[in-house]
Amino acid sequence: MVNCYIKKTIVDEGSKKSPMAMRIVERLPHMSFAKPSSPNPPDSMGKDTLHLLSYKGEFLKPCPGTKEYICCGYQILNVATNCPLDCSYCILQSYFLHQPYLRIHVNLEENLAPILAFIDRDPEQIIRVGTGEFADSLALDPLTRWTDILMRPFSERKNAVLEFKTKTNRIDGLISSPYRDRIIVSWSLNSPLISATEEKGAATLKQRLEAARRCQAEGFVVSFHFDPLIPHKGWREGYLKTMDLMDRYLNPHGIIWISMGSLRFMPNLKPIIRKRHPGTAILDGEFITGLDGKARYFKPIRIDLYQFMRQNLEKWHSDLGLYLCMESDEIWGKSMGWSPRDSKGLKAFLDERVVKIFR
Amino acid sequence: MIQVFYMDRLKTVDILPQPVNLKQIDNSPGPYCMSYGFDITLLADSISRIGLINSPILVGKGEGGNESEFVVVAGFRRINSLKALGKTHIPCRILPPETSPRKCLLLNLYENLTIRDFNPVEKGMALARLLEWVPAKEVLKTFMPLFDLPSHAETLHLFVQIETEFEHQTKDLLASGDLSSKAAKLLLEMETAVREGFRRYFSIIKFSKNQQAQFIDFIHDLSYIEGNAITRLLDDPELTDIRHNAQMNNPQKARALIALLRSRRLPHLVKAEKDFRRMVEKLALPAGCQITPPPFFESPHYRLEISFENGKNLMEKLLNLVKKEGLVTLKDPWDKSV
Repeated sequence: MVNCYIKKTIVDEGSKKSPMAMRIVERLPHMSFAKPSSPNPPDSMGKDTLHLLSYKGEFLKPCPGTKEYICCGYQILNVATNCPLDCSYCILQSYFLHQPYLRIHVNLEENLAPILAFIDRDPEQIIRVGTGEFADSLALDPLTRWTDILMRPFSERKNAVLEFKTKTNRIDGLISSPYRDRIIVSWSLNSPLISATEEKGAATLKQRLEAARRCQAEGFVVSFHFDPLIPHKGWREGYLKTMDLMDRYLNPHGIIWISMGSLRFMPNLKPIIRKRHPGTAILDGEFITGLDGKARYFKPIRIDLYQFMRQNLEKWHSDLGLYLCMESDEIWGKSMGWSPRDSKGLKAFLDERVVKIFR
Repeated sequence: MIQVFYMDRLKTVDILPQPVNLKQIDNSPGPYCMSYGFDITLLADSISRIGLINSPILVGKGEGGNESEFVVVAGFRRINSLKALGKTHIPCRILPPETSPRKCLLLNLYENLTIRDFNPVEKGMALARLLEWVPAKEVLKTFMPLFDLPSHAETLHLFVQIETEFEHQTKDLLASGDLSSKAAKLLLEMETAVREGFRRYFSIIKFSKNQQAQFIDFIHDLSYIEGNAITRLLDDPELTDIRHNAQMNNPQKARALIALLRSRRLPHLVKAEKDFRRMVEKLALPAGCQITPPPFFESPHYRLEISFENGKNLMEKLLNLVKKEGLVTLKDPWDKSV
């Protein structure tokens, strides 16, 4: 079960003696080891191959965002790139088209000190950190045990939170850890149809929500991301079903935030999606070119999506920390009834949620 | 690499031209030719006026082959021009039969690179042939820049596909510039019958490069959304009526086709644009005043443009505008609020 996604492993010469690499290799009995070779064809992206390497870049970087839309001011902890799940809409398909394999940065531990120093530099400044931007935070955790490495140092700091964002139910590492404070466990959610048809390899909605329930029971703060929202036939009923499931499985008190974003992508992703996911319906929507050059749904469609979600989520609970990911001040105002005005405002809103929920 | 080739160069200048009967030269372009979609009229005219300046280069056919029969190494267009001029014998430089195919290929390549640009089909031909004799890494690093191409494996693959996968008719369109490289890339993903369907449009209607890509993209998307085969969509009477409309000129046909497909692909956006135009028309703005929505209505900022002759004229138009009661009702066309 530990390595159900993995068929091959590549360990870079310079990383063989890394403690993290050695631990991962130990957890992979009977695994065939391959030498780094020419990349797999783009169609597969090497999702069945683990590549253990030392990352040369900066581990902690602000989410790039774009100046045209309001960004939440998140910090990305770059522990890995690429993901064993195969969601048709995944932006990583174009980001890492020429950088295949599940690349695990095994020099994470050696690089923790500067990351923590950055957090400690200004104790008044709240730093929201996530590992789920360039990879699923937990899909490979049984192998990598990022939870062992990261939970303690974040738990010990009052001005930072670490969000594990996942579409899996691989929460054993979390549960077995004694640390809870400043840790957020987060699930991406969608309508049952989109989850079943467009999120290959991910846990079912029920499995995700069962895992969330267990995490809540174990004392974790949880969050959710309805991103990408995708209008499809019967989308209102579909998203309502997901919200019903949330109601059935979760206690809304203590959910730190729920984000919403609609499907958006750089134009170069479209042919990749067509090629890799021939049966997908996600490209059928009415896309225009956004101010940042990305394809996005025509504005009234987005407003409709967010309004509907907000109204129904607020019926469930009035204090869910709802926010929009990469949307304009105008869309915020028209769909949410208020706006943080700019990225600074949204960061302040989310930082306040951290203070409120973690006290 | 260029240096290496120079050191290893063939001293073709030392080979004296000798008359060769045209019948002895293979009619096909052979393995070294990199010319496609050329028009020999100008060259034939030049040769008929001032004669042949640079003799074609030939090599004996294959090992053990009949040495009286030759393959063209360089000068395929010149030979064709001379044939067209009715010549029977032409002066050619003949390489020693042991000359390696790699050397022949590079000789042709460098000769051509110095005198002309390559069209996309020719680039594909050249790169595909180079790959037979030169490692891909070297092709990427050394040769792609010579064709003004980035040294990306993906780009190399694209041009090789143009050579290996496109049928002649599509190559003809691409070589003549009637098919853009961007559109060609999209067509490569499609089956032959589908490409043929698109060719029927591109060979008749002169779309701009962007329109061509849009046309393919809209048709492709609509085939998924409407559950219709691309070939059937291309034969849709609404489209074919425009294609065969004798009242429209070429640019009008291109615009009409794009507008039709756009209205099917982006119905809400097109409706919003129409509704907004109607709202503005109702305002009866003063002459020279124009209100336009932002592209795709994405930005919240509409634009007012006023053309005027002088300050007095501007003041009049502004006053006239201010008096327009309907102006305050102007809003996003989908906004149902009063």
